[in-house]
Amino acid sequence: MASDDEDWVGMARRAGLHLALEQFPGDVAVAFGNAVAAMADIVPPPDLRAEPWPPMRPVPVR
Amino acid sequence: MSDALHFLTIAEASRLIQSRKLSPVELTQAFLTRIAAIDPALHSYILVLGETALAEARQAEAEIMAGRYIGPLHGIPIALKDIYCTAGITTTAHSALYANYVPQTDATTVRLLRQAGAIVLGKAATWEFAIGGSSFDLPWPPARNPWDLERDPSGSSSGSGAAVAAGLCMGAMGSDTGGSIRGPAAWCGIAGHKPTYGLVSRRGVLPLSYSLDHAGPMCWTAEDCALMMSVLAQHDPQDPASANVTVPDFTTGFGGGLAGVRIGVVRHFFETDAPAEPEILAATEQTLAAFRDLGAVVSDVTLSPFSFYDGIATIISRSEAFSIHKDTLTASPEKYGAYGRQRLMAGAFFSGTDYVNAQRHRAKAIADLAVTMQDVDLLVFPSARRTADTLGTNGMAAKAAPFYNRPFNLTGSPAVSVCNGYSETGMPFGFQIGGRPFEDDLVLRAGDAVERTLGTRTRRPTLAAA
Repeated sequence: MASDDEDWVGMARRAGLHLALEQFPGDVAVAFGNAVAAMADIVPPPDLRAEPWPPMRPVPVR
Repeated sequence: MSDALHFLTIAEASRLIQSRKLSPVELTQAFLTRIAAIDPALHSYILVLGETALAEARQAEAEIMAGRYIGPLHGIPIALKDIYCTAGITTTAHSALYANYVPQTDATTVRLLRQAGAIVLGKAATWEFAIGGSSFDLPWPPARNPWDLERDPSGSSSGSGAAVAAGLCMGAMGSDTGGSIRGPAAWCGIAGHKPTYGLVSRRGVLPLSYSLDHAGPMCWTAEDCALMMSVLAQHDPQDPASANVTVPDFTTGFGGGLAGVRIGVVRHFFETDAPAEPEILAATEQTLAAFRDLGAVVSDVTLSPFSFYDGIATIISRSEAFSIHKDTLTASPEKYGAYGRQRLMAGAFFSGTDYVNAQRHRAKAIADLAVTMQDVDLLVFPSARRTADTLGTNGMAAKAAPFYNRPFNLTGSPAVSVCNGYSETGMPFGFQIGGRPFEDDLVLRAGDAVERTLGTRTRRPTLAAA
């Protein structure tokens, strides 16, 4: 996650949000603010090798 | 029992229909008449299906009169949140993007409800794509709260909650990705059940966040939710997340006590993590006292801080939702409402590592909750920190969001919100009860016990015809 204005505009562009940046820059800024707020509540997981949820499960061929 | 047909519960109406004392046609017409009078001010419906509803009611009546009564939803008028696909009927997601979208098949849940004899009155308002907010920049106005038309019914199952509370349908389908059944249930003073993840099919429900989306019922009472669950809870091979489990009997045990049931109060959620308003704290203590009177054993439990669940849920839900909407958001952002754009585009700012780490946290949250629930049978806390916001204030965007709903979306646990009282200004409170996965029956029985013991089901909003 980016931490300054220049980075988040770049991230929005990389995500393809050129039109949104042009037409609704305020909405993109609010979206970035929401993302920053969510990340502020999170610390790194204690085990960075742990399986995320859900675990990979191959489907048997019948 | 109410004298007005539109305020009967499903349980009451189904007994009358089964004994042929109430005509499904008469019942359906009563709802259509009330919708025509009330909904121009409430805006709970996007589309009313008057002709087809009456045709379905006539068919139900003919079947019942011929001795072919099929169960408690036979002849019962319901509404569908407008993200439930309906064959040959527009399914708009309350968005300009889907204004003319007509699915070819019914969602699995819609098919099951129709097979059970339910009458579909119409498609209910929602937040845009079940995420946008109570917006005034969409093709249809936002639903309003029937207890106070200047207030927000919450969402995203806003029309479903408003319609049930106002007596514009007997039950409705909602969806719950971050609390979108339980939030409107709380602010509209009804019962809303988020089933265990996988217990009710999501097939044909427009997706928002595939690992957090839950489909479920919203009714005036927990007992009515149980009656709908008895139809809805079926394995669906066409939903990859559908659980193939033995389904409990949802229809027994209502009206009884809770002797020996161990109830864990997650007190830090509503006292320190995100404090609730004093009136809600008082109602919560009154509800806990009622549990003790019913024979339950009540104790405090500690989980991770509420903000931890909230942050994880935001990262996962926004990432998954952005993946669904990226093409249209990048090509035509102007076709979304502002709230929809703001919430969906948040997903553009999380990295793959952020998402994977959030899922790691989620796996641990699920494991931690399983340990906690070895010592208690149910977890309880208020549904909301405060009563309904003023419409248009977009309280969901604030850091201090009004609801405590997201932990159970992350863990997939069943959870119901039931009405446990009213504020001095007459606005309803919601109380949340969560359980172990696939123990939805106990959750609903506890919700029923709250409603009956506190006597909250006798009051209805007063609405004048437009």
